[in-house]
Amino acid sequence: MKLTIKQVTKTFKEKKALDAIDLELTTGVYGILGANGSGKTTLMRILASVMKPTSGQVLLDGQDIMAMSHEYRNLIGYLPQHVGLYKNFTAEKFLKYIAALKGLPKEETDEKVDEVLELVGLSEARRKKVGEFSGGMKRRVGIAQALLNDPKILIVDEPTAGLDPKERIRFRNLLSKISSNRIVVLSTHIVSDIEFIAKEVLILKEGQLIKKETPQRLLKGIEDKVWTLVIDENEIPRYQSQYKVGNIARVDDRFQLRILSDDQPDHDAIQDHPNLEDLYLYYFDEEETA
Amino acid sequence: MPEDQQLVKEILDGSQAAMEVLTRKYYKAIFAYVYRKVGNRETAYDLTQEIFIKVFQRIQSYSNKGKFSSWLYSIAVNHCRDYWRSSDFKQISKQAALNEAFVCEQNNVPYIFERKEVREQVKTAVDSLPDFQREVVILKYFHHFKIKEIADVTDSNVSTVKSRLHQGLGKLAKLLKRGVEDENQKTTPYI
Amino acid sequence: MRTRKLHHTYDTENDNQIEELELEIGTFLDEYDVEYPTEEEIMLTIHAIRPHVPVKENKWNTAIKGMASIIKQAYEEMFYVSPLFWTANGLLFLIALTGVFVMDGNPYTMMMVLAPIPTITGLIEVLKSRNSGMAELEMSFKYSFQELILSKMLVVGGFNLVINLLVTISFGMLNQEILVSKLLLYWMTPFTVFTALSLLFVGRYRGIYSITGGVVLWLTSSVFLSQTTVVERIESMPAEIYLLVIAAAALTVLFQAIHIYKRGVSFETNH
Ligand SMILES: Nc1ncnc2c1ncn2[C@@H]1O[C@H](COP(=O)(O)OP(=O)(O)O)[C@@H](O)[C@H]1O
Ligand SMILES: [Mg+2]
Repeated sequence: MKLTIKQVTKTFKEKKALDAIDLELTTGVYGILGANGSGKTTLMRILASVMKPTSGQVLLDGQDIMAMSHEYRNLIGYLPQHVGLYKNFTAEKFLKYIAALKGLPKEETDEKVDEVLELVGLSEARRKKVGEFSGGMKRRVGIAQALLNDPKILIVDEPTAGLDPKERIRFRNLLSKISSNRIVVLSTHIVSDIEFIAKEVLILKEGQLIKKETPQRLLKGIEDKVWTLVIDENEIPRYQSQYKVGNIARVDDRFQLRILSDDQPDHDAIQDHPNLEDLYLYYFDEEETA
Repeated sequence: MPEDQQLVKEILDGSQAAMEVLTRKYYKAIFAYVYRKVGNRETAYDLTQEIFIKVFQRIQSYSNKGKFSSWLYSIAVNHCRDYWRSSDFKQISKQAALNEAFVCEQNNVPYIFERKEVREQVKTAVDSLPDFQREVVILKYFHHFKIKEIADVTDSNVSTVKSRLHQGLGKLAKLLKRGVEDENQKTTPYI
Repeated sequence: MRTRKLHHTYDTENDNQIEELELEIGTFLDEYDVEYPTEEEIMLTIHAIRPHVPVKENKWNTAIKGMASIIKQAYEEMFYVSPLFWTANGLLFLIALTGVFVMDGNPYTMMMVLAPIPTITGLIEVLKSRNSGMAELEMSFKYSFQELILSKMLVVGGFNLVINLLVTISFGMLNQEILVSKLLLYWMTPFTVFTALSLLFVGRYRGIYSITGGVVLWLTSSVFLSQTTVVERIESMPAEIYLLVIAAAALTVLFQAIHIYKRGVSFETNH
C-alpha cells in the first residue's frame, strides 16, 4: 500500500499554505514536524479528503483519492486537530454512533466498540459522559473513533497538544501499539512525541517540505553543530542574540547553554550529541519553538 | 479489434461481453508478467485473477487518463508488490527456502546439472534479482516497454528505471554466463 | 528531494550498455517461456470477475440507492437525536390541544402556527455537528456529510409530519365540526414552506444564524396570524392558492435536497 502526494498545493486567497508537496508514504509512522502555521493541518485535511488541494493530487496505489470517494473514506481514520465530541453522549454511545456513520455492519459494532475502548484504556469509563472526560481521555476517545473501521491509513493532527506529560507518554505508547500494518501520519510541534516512534520525520516550513529523513539520518546531519558552553549569567543575552540557543541549565552559580552553530561559538565550547530538540531548533526560529 | 476506451465505456454501462473481450485481450500478458515476477504458476494464476477483479472494481476511477494498458499494468505491478509484503508470501517463501535447501543438496550430485535446462537457470537467475530490478527487466525485455512507460507503470522516473535495468541486466549476464561456464567445465572432463 | 539530473553522456552510454546487455543475454532470456493457464482456467477467472463488473448505471437505481442509504441512516440517527427535542415538541403539541379544547381557540390558526415548530427546533439537531465541532470529522466518514445532513433533515421532517397528522386525527375525532381537509391545508402550507426554507438555510448559512433566522421568521408570522383581520383574509383565500404554495414549497424541498446531495454544503473548514 502506498500513498503518493503529487505536487500538492493549497492556496487560501493569497496565502500559500502548501507549496508543491511531493511525498510517498508506505506502512509505518510518519511524524510531520512544523511550527504553527507551517501547513500541517492543511496537509492532514487533504490526506483525510475533507479538503481539496488547489492543484496536484493524492493517490492511493495509483488511484486518485477524490475519485475513490467512499472507498477511500472507508480506509481511513482521522482525528482532526480541533474536534468537538457530542458532550451528552457516553463514550460507548458516541462510538456506536460513529460506527453507524462509518457504515460498520450492525452485528460487528458492539464487538468493535468494546475492542477500541479496551485498546485506548477506556473500558471502565465507557458509561461516563464524554463531556465529563479529561483532555487526555477525550483525545483517547478521538483515537478510538478513528480506529473503529480498522483503518489502513490513520491520520492524527497534533494528538498530544494540551496533554500533560504522563498522558503524553501514554498516548505515544498507544500509537506505537497500533501502528503496525498501517500508514500512520502524525503531526506535532513537539519533537519528543515522535523521536522514538517515527519511521521518518517530515519537516514542513512555510508550506514547503524541507526534509524527509529517518530520525537518525536527520540527527547525523547536525552532528557537528551542537555545542555546550558554560558562562556567567550576564553573558547569556549576548549568546542568545548571536546564536540559536536551546536548553539553558544552571551549573552551580553559572549557566550551561546549548548552542546550535555551524562554527564553534567559543574556545571553551564543547561539541555534544544532537537530539531532535536541537534539530527542531536548527530548522525553526526560536520564537516558533515556544 | 475495438479500442480499449470503447470497451471501458461499455463495461461502465454494465456489459459483461466487453469485460470478457478486454480480459482476454490482456490476460496472457498480465499472466506472463506475474508468472515471471513470482516464479510460480499457481500463485501467478491466483494473483492474475485478483488483479483483474481489482481492475473491474476500480474501473470507475479509470477516467481515460492515459492508456488503459498502462493503468492495468500499474495495478498489476502494485498488486505483486503487495503480495510480496503479505503474510501469504512469507509462508510460501519459507517453503521455498526449504525446497531450495533440498535442491542444493541434490545439486551436489553432478548429473543433475546435465538435466537442468537452460530455462531453469534463467528462471533461477531472474528470481534472484531484487524486486525492483526484476520488475523493470521483465517489463523491458518480455513486454517490450519503453523506459518512459516503465517509469509510469512502476511509479518511478526514467533515470531510476535505467539504473535498475542496468544493474538487473548486468547481474543476469554475470549469473547466466557463469552458469554456462560451470556447465562446460563440468562436462568437458568426461569427453 | 528533487531527482538529480544524470549527466547526458552518461545517460546515452548507459542506454547503449542496456541494449548490449539485452543482446548478450537475449538468447538465454528467450528460453524463459510461460506455462499459461488452460482455456478452462481462464474461463474460471472470467466467471470470478463477473460479479465485479459495474451494474448498468441506471439513474433510477442510483437515485433509489441514494435514497435508501439516507433513509437507513435516518433510522440510525433517530436513536441519537437528543431526548430534549422529542419531549419539547411533544409538550408543544399538548399545549396546542389544550389551547383548542380547553380554551376554545381557533384550531386552524393554532395548527398553522404550531406546524413548523418541530422543523425549526430540529435545525438545532441537524446543525449539532457544526456547532460541536464534529463536522470536520463527519466529513471524513464513509457516509458523506451531505448524506448525514439530509438524513437528519429526514428524521426531523418525518417527525414533524407524524405529529401533525396525529393532531389532525385527534382534532377530527374529538371535534366533529372541524373540517379535516381544511386543517390539512392549514398546516401543510407552513410546514412545507418552513421545511423548504430550512433546507435553503442549511445549505447556505452557518449554524446558529439559520436557527435564529427561522425563529424570527416564525415569530413574525405568528404575530401576524394572531390579528383577526389577517385570519379573516387568510380564511377567505381559495384552497387553490394553498395547494399552489404547498406544491412550490415541496418542489423547492426536492431540488434543494438534490442540490445538497450533489454539491455538498458550503462549509469552510477553519481553525
Ligand atoms: N481555512 C483557512 N482559510 C484561510 N487560511 C487558512 C485556512 N486554513 C489554514 N490557513 C492558513 O494556512 C497556513 C497553514 O495553516 P495550518 O495548515 O493550519 O498550519 P499548522 O497546522 O501547521 O499550524 C496558515 O497561515 C493559516 O493561516
Ligand atoms: Mg494545525
